[in-house]
Amino acid sequence: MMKTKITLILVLCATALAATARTAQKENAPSPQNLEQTRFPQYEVTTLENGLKVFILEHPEQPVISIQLVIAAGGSNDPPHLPGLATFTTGLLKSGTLTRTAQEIAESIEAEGGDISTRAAREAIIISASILKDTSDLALELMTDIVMNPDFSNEEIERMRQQAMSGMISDLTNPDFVADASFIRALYGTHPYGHPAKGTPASLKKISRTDILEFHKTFFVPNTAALVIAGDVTHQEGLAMAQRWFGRWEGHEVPGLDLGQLRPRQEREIYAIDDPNSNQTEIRIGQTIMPRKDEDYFSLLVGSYVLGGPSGRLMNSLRVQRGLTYGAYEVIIPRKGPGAIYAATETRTEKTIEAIEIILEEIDRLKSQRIPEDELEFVKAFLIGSFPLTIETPSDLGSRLANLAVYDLGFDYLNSYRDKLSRISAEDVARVAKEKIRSENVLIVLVGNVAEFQDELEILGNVKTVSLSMLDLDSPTLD
Amino acid sequence: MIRLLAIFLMCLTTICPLAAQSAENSMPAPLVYGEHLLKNGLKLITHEDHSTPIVNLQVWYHVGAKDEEDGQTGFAHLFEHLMFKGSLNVDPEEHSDRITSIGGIANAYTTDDVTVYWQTFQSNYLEMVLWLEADRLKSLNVSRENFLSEREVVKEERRVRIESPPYGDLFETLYSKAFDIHPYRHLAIGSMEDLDRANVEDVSKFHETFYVPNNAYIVLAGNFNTDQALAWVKKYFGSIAPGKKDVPRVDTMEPEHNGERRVSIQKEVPLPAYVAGYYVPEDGHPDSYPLVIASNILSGGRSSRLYQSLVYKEQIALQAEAGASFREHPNLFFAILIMNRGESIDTGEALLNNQLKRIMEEPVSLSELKKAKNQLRADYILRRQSVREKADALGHAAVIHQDTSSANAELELFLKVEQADIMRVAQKYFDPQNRTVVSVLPLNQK
Repeated sequence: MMKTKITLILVLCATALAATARTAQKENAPSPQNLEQTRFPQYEVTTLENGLKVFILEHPEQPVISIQLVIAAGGSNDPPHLPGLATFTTGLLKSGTLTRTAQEIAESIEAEGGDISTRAAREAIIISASILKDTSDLALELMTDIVMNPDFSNEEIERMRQQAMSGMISDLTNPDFVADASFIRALYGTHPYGHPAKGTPASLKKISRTDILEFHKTFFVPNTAALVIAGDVTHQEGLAMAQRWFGRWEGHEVPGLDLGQLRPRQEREIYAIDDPNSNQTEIRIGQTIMPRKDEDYFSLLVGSYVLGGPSGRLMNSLRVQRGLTYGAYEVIIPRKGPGAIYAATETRTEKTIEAIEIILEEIDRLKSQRIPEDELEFVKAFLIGSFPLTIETPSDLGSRLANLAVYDLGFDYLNSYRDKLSRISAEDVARVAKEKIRSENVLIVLVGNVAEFQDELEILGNVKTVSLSMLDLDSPTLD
Repeated sequence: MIRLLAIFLMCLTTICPLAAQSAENSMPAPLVYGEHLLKNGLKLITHEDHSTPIVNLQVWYHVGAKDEEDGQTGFAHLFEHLMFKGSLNVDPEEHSDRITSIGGIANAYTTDDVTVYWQTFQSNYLEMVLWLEADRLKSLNVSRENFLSEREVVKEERRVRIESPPYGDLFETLYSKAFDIHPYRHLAIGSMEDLDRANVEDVSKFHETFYVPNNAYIVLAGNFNTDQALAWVKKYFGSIAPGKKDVPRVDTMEPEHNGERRVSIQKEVPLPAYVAGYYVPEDGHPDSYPLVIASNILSGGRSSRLYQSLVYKEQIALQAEAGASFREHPNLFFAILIMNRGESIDTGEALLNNQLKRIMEEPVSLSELKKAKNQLRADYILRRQSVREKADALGHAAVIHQDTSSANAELELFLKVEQADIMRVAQKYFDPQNRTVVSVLPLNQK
């Protein structure tokens, strides 16, 4: 019997350069020089007696220090009937303490050319300052005062309430904001990730001083928090700062949050939010995904960049080839519980259906067809090659550590994740895409002049229309 | 790591130093740069920074929206988009794709005065990116199909920025009313009508006129060796011929206006909005320095006068801000108010007028002056940390001021400003007769 030896030659396309076919007379691009792989700088983690985890990273390039205090709570901890409480409480921190008025806080830090910012995200509240080294003691003094001794006076609460209401009124006429908030609400329903983090007109009216005090007392504790100090500071100095200013902060146990399972959508659902005056439609199409720490997250991340990263398929199909949009992206939201991915774009009214169909086709293509090697390598090269751009300043470095703390990614993560990424294969992505990506039973949210495309829209799935003026973000079904 | 810091102890002219812990003690180290001029007129500005293995490369073309001809508004910005659509050795989109494939970020923007192409990327690819930039300067080649498609993208951008958001067209209205003759009267995005009129035949004419090495500045900040960078620049850009004619420059002067101009509009907006634009001189004019200090005092942070008065104490505004848009030619200083629901613009304007009157009639306090200077001094460090910010500062100095040393020298000019200077410029420029006002009311409000 004749044995035929078949030698399979795998030809891997050139990595790193997404060269398209060129004619013979074109010049070639110059080749790169060699470069060592960049490492994330050394840092140390120390836990204080009160449980506060302190990250210190020396980076004396400029006389600048970045300080970020990360509280392990956020919008997801809002009581179900009070969306916006975390944001509201956080916004009040700079509005006065037991010994300082709002004006005094502002005056002290601004007189030195500094700034303290407070921000509530869904799973973390961050109080931060990026300041000259000389201002660090003052910044820490103020930061600890606002975190440990906020006043929450009735006067300031009413002031904040009025501002938040005005801000909300303004947001609700912005199609971009409405599309994002509606998508998240419809996607997550009554899950802690679903309600509008800034609150709703109804909830903003109800928030009381008791609610605020309760939220602050429950969640602003050192034992679940992280303090990140990066910049012109030695490990010794940083630790001394942390101990001096945060050492006396007392903690206690914090109630857990059930981030449970979400039942995946059984069929396609379309919410069309009607804004008859618009000449553009905002489009969001997506689904929930696994938690950030799931072992398949990276494969999905790579897939999402193929679909909607820079130079991705959505940009190419919608903007480059057809001029339908200014921007088309695949957004990936990492979460401790179920995360989300969705395609986000806008287009002129008359192209709405065409754009939706193209997005659905692209999602389906990702799900059902193996990604070509060169496309995979292109995306991995971006994700890996962009690393040095993300570690330039103390603020950049601090943010990477803060993120590490929030998602508990592990001490070595910032130096190990690129290797992990580089080992992801087209098979990995294909498997995860097949199992986890949905192209049929997705959620579609549109904000635009619905009358112009309603008929064609109904062919794509079950459509629910809500007038923009009647939109109710308190409701998981938007009405 | 290399410490770039040089510590200077400065005695400010007007005040005694306070406690040792203070922003006064941190003086920014000057940006050290090199300047090189090629025979074809191309200028290269270099700043080495070896702290991270990245480079920010910018190419500034001294052409912007103000250089557009009548009926061709939006063309400079459209052209910026087209610069990504292929040249002799680079396919359409290939420039962006290459930058992405090396983990870099690339983008561009068009202002009234300049068009800037920038990218941040790993420094071992510097030669490649210089080659890419040279190729599109030398041999931009846009197909009719790509022209038409990209024109649609720009029209979408206009919808996204100007037509969709609630206050998107506020500044378009303001500028169209504030300037009669000067091309600043239209925004860089241009009008839909003019965009529809633009055609691919205009592209090469615009390219020959403005995209020439004698109208270009390369700014490089980051991890590279200056001699090597210069050698590459000469290699790839040196052979590009300068423009056949002098680059045309706008010399239109907006005539003085007689009195205040006011426009009131009612439209679908959630809250009343108000913007007042006061005519101010060009970027780098001696009066611009006290005007910046004045805007810090009026609007720099929550301890500032406008915030404290309109937002905090009277609680009539959601936002109250002021600041100048300094440009190559005289432009505007704005005060912007977004009123809280139910509050009237008249009340807002009255309080704003009071604040401006106050700064015209009373010297600002020494502590406010010191605060403004501390903010600026801190910004010179805090806002020049990244290679991109450093390159921005150098590019702005080289192109707008035509003097790269101003990137360092201007701080001194700010720190020399005295109370009397602020009062003088306030009186000269904050006269209500010297302004254009646009008010926008929600449909259901009187």
